[in-house]
Amino acid sequence: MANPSPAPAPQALPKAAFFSFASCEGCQLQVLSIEDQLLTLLGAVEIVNFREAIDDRRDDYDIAFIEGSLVRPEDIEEIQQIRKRARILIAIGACACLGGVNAIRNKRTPAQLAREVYDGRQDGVFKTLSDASPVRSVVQVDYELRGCPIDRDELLETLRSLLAGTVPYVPPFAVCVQCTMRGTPCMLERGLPCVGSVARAGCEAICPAFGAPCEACRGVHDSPNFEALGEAFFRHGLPRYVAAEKLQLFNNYKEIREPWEKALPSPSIT
Amino acid sequence: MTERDVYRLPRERLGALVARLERDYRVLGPAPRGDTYAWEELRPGDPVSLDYPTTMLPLRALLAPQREVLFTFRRGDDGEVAFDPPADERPLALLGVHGCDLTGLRVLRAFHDSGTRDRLVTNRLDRAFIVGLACWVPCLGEAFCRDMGSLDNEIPADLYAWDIGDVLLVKVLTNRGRDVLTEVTPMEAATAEEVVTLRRRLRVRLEAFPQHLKFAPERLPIALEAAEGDLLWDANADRCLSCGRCNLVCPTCTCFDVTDASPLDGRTGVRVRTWTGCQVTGFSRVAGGHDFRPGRAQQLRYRIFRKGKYMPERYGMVGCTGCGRCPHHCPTRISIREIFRQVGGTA
Ligand code: SF4
Ligand code: SF4
Ligand code: SF4
Ligand code: SF4
Repeated sequence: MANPSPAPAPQALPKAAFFSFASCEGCQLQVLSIEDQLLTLLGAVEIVNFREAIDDRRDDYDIAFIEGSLVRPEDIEEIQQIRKRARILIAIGACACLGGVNAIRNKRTPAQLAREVYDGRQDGVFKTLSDASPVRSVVQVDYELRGCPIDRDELLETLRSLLAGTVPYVPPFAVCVQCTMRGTPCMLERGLPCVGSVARAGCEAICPAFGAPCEACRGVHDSPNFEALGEAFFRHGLPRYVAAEKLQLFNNYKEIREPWEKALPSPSIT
Repeated sequence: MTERDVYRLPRERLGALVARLERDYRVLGPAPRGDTYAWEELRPGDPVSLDYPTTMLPLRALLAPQREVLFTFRRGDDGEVAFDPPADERPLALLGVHGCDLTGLRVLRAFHDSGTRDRLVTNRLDRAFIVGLACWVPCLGEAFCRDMGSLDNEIPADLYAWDIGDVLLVKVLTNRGRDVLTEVTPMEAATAEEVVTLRRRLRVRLEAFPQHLKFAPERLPIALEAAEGDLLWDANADRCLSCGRCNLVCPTCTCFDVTDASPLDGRTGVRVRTWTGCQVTGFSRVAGGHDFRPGRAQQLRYRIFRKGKYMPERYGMVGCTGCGRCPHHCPTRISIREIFRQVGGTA
């Protein structure tokens, strides 16, 4: 089989920029770790703004990748600026898509937080929004790359799809689908609190495959049944509120929380 | 059972059987995985499992795999696109296939033979060497293979074995089965005493397999039709998660999705088919976002109808083997057996 020669470079590469809000920046690191395909990636897009990787930043870009959730008042203005400049805005990771772990605090008052986290001290603590929020709660998001952290292959596939002018595929179904196909024995059978049956797939059910129950870091799928999740937990010897505790981890932003909060008893710690 | 076709295979000769098959086949047998079983490759010397309950994934995972490359494509410098079929693979030898899963292979065959014959799957089925194995006790509490007529099914096995202790009694069902057995045993017929033991055990076994349905599976299409508007679909769907496990563990589910994947260069790629199922979220959604079968109750009803009505009507064989996998692996234990029982009870 003859090796196909590389495609001729297009005239002007689309410019991509990466921005980081409240997050661990793990998703950006995930992008940097695409070593084997980084050159192909660089042959397809020009990266003009990337805090983890380049110093010389520019503000002209076509595609903006956003990592992190919005937590400070100034984040709102900044994201609006980015939205104005970018043709395509892509939220990456659980923080940007769902609010993620930052949103665990959303049910607490600032005073409560100051007490629990900073030992009651308010001085030097930056001003925060009342809710740690996903990007799409403030500006229009064109695509979302879910996961904590994002999946490298999915990022490449999304880029390929955008460059080819097609809509990137987002699995609408449960993690259980990929988990079962993989042949992983179900964690619930071992009495472990797995919420894969309401969680969105795309991760190839990697956590259950390595012995950890799913925590829905990609959010919920297109037709979650939270009452049935409680029922599944109960039938496997797990209290129903444990399901709520699990969902609270990544899915605690108000609009995402509401449906499961209605269907399940409150978590023991909020 | 014609006794002249039943031969003795002493347990200690099982290794020789594996070694013989290894020459021509990729040999697989059930092996423990977590709290369930999975088909794994056997090497000569590996123990052959004769008393496993059942595997989580059905045999179609080997014959029509979860994710399969249908062909690869590449665009040359002249713009022409060339297609390459998947590489040739070693035929499979499957050791210890239970009656329900043999039935599952018959249904798989019927599906892939119909319409445009699927050569990838039917070739694998044609070339596979299959050793059937009789069950003495139900594998799962949810099994109802006896009701569905698959407990004693021997087709399409080449050899079919009853484990009666120190010796396996093996029935020869195909010429290729005879050839292989001839190479690993002196082809001693089962003794009169052994045949009596087998008959007695088969009689006693019926008590271990209570009947769950009060009607023959042939009645299912009519019974289901009468229950189409029943509330039982909604009642069951209330606790359905649309997780799709029922589809994926089922030996007779055959649905797949077809997608293309290619690296960033956009010049090469693969066309892949991936398992899906009628209870998987998004299955009935088509272009433009339209859903032609919305709602969990209708999706659940459809799955049951497919097994009990549509498949018998189309292929002349019931689409449920009674293997019990779908209720057993359903997170909320939605049970096809219970649903069949309910619809049959009123018909
Ligand atoms: S382990 Fe979790 S994701 Fe896997 S099948 Fe069970 S509930 Fe679903
Ligand atoms: S429908 Fe359920 S019981 Fe019937 S063959 Fe499929 S998995 Fe087994
Ligand atoms: S369903 Fe019946 S035939 Fe199938 S493995 Fe279980 S006991 Fe054996
Ligand atoms: S396994 Fe059970 S809960 Fe999951 S889709 Fe099937 S019937 Fe519904």
